[in-house]
Formats: sequence, C-alpha cells, structure tokens
Amino acid sequence: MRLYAASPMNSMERTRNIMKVKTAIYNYFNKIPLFACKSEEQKDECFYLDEHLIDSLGIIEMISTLENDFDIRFEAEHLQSDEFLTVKGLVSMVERMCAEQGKLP
Amino acid sequence: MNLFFGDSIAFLAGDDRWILYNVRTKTALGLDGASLSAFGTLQSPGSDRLKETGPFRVWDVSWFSQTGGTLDDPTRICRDPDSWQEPRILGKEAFFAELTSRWLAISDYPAYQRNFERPAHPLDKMRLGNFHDQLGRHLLFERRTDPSEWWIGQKFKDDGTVRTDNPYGTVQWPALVSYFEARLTKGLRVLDVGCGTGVFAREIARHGAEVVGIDPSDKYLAIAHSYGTGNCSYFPVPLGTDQGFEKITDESFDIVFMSDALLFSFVSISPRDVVDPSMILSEIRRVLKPGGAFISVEPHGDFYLAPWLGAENAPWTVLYEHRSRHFSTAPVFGQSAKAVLKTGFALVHFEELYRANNCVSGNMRMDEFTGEFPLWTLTEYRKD
Repeated sequence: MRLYAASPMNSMERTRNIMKVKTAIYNYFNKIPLFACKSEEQKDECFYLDEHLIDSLGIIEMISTLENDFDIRFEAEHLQSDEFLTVKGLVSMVERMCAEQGKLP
Repeated sequence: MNLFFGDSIAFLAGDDRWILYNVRTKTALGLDGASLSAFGTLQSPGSDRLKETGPFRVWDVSWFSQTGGTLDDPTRICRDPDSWQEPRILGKEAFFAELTSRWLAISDYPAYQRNFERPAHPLDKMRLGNFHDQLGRHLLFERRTDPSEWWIGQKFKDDGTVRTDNPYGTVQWPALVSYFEARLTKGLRVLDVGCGTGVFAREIARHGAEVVGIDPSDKYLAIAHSYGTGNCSYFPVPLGTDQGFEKITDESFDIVFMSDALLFSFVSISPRDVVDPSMILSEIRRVLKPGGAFISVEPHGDFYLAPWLGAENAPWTVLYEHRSRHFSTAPVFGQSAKAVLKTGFALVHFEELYRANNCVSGNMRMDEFTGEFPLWTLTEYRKD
C-alpha cells in the first residue's frame, strides 16, 4: 500500500524520514562485506562506485530496489549528479525525492 | 587561454544551417552561417575570444543515434534540418560556453583528453570511454533497458532469424550463408564459440554438420534451445574468464567458428578487466583436429562504428584512430591475425565484407555506406 503525506512535513517528521531512508539504504549496502566492515563515518563518506563495491548491473539492481521501496523514480539528472556517488548523498537525495513527491519513506 | 580545434569539422546541413561536429567525441551543434563565421574567428592566431557579440543562433542536433542497434548510423547527428527544433538565441558568453561544453572549442585540453580513457565506474562523467562503455551507459541509465535483451532485439526478429533492415542482414548474414554453402559438407563437426542464440549454429547444421555451441550466457542458450536442437547441442562455458573449454576433448572438431566474439579478447568489456587473446586462441587450436579450420567473422577494426559522412548516396568517413582503441571495440586485422598466427595457424582465406548486391535495408545512407566500406572481416585459418 502506498502512503501519501496529507500535509507538509514538520522538521521532526523529516528527521524521522531521513532515518528511515538511511536505514533502508544502509541495509542494502550492508549486504556488501567491504561496506559492512566500515565505520559509520566511513560508510557516510563512501564513494561506492569509485571503490567498485557494485558494478553496472549492481547499480541497476540498487536503483530498482530503491524505486520500489520508496515509490520514487530516478531520472537521468539524478544519476548524473555528484550526490548520487556517495552513500550519504544517496540518502539525502532519496529523502528529498520522497518529500518532493509527497511520499512517505 | 589557448584553444584547441583539431578534431572538429563543419558541414552544410541545409539552407544557412551548418553542423559543427567533433569526430572524436561525436558531439555536435547546429548553427547558422553567421555563428559559424564567428566561431571561425576564434581560430585566428592569438585569438581566444569571440569578436562578434551575437546574437548567435544554435540548434541541438546531438542524439544517441544507435538507440535502435549497434549498426545504426554511428554519427550521432540529427541531420535533417526540417526536423530541428526552434533555434536557441544566445549571447556571446553563452555561445562560447555551448562550444566548450560540446568540445567544439577546447579550452581544457587535459580534461578533453580524459574523455578517451576508460571510465572509472559506470557513472563516471569525466570519461566517455569506448563505444561499449557509452552504449552500456546509454542503455542502463538513459533507456533503463537490459543490454542483453536489447542486443537480441537489434540483431534478430521474433522468430530468431536475422533482421534484414540493418547490416547484420544485408552484409554479415549473406556473406556467411554463401561461405558456408561453399565450405561446409555433411558430417563435419563444428564448434561455435560464443554461439549466443544459435542462429549461425542452426545455419551450419542445415548443411549437415554436427554443431556444438558454447556460450557464457544461460539466457542466450535457453533461447537457442527454444528453436530446437536438431544437429546442434549447446553448453554453457565461461568464455572470457581464465577457464578454458575444459569439457571439450582435444582434437575433436573439424571447424571452430566464432562470430562477433573474438573482439572481447582484445578490448575488454569492463574497463577493469585485462584481456589476453592467447588463452582462447590456444583452446581453439587444442580442440581442432590436425589441419582443422578456424573460421572467424569479426567487426572491421577501422570501418565498424566509423561515422557516416557525405551525401546520402556519396558516403565518406573520417578515421582518427587505427592503432589505438579509444572508441573502437574491435582490434584491427593486423593485431588479431598476428595473435592467431602466433598460436600455430596459417592464413588461408581473408575478405572484407560489404553489403551483398541484392540486399537492401531500406535506409539509403546505410546501404551506400556498407556498399563502400566493409563492416566485418571474414577469415579462415588452418591449424598448422
């Protein structure tokens, strides 16, 4: 079932949503041993493509997982942005997409 | 600031409409004659600024023209001015930015050169990479299409036969059909290395040969099976890895056939892989009977993917690399032949494949180009 926000989110809701997105994305990456063994800080700053943690088919799998889990759609400009290249950037991008599209993570 | 222009050409597309085109990056801009003249002034010695103030009229004419298939027009230009959108009217600074962002006037030469390296990862914006890198990125991130399914569709019809509206059907297929007709006899044992969905295996078997097809893709082999096996049998073999054809016994085949697959042993698919053709070539030699034949049809190292330029019925092209493989994904013949001969083979047949006389795709530019320039080479080697 899809849930839609009835009213603009307040900052507490927003923080809670960021945590939900972060948990989901971390759960995804934690399946990769080379990611799982990193410290929290290293995980945030991780350039997962530069470090070759996932390959091109892995990216496609990740994109469809996130799209399905959050009911969002990545466009070409999302994929081309620098934000997409780090785990931290990905978290804020997905959270923002959810907020913009009025969808709860 | 020194500007570099060495890789760009301009040609007339229509009434006061020009196309400025970088042959290496395949980036282009449509512009009117006055804007082209202004661009020309940038090239005078010591000049790095536009003398005219504009306004400049430009059109977006770039597109990924191989969306329909690897053998579609590789030029990436929307040629017909009638189909161009309304022009954008730009001031001096915006026009200059347009020229530099499309690598038509190059102000940062090291950044420009970086384009021709393989990408660090699939979303690497700093490097264009070779044709396969660019195609992969286009399919995965712009079209969001599974490349393996796309590949089947651009080569075969739903019934598994070769499409006739592109050079697979107008160049490669007729050449192989007539070569097989003259060359194959009943009872030969043939190994099809990288058989894919089995279209050539079935054609070889039609001549009474017993064919074994091997391929790394279970998906393609399942499709091959779906067309019926008859005289063909298929096995998954991890080609492209350091494992050989271990299940295949020595000196058990009269012919090894390989099409559009040996190139991957010369130019890696993944930028991080290191390739070495000697392993697969010595395996091919091992499984051949004494005096057996290795028949190889591979993309032409120079003209496959070369831009289609000139008038529709008077094609010409531009080559900017022969030895290096910054864009092309197939080795030149001298490189592949040297590797095969070194393995212990002799060359017995070589031809460049052009469009067959009676085959037309329906696209005049494609047909004229493939009538003039070869897109594949067909080679037969004998095991020494």
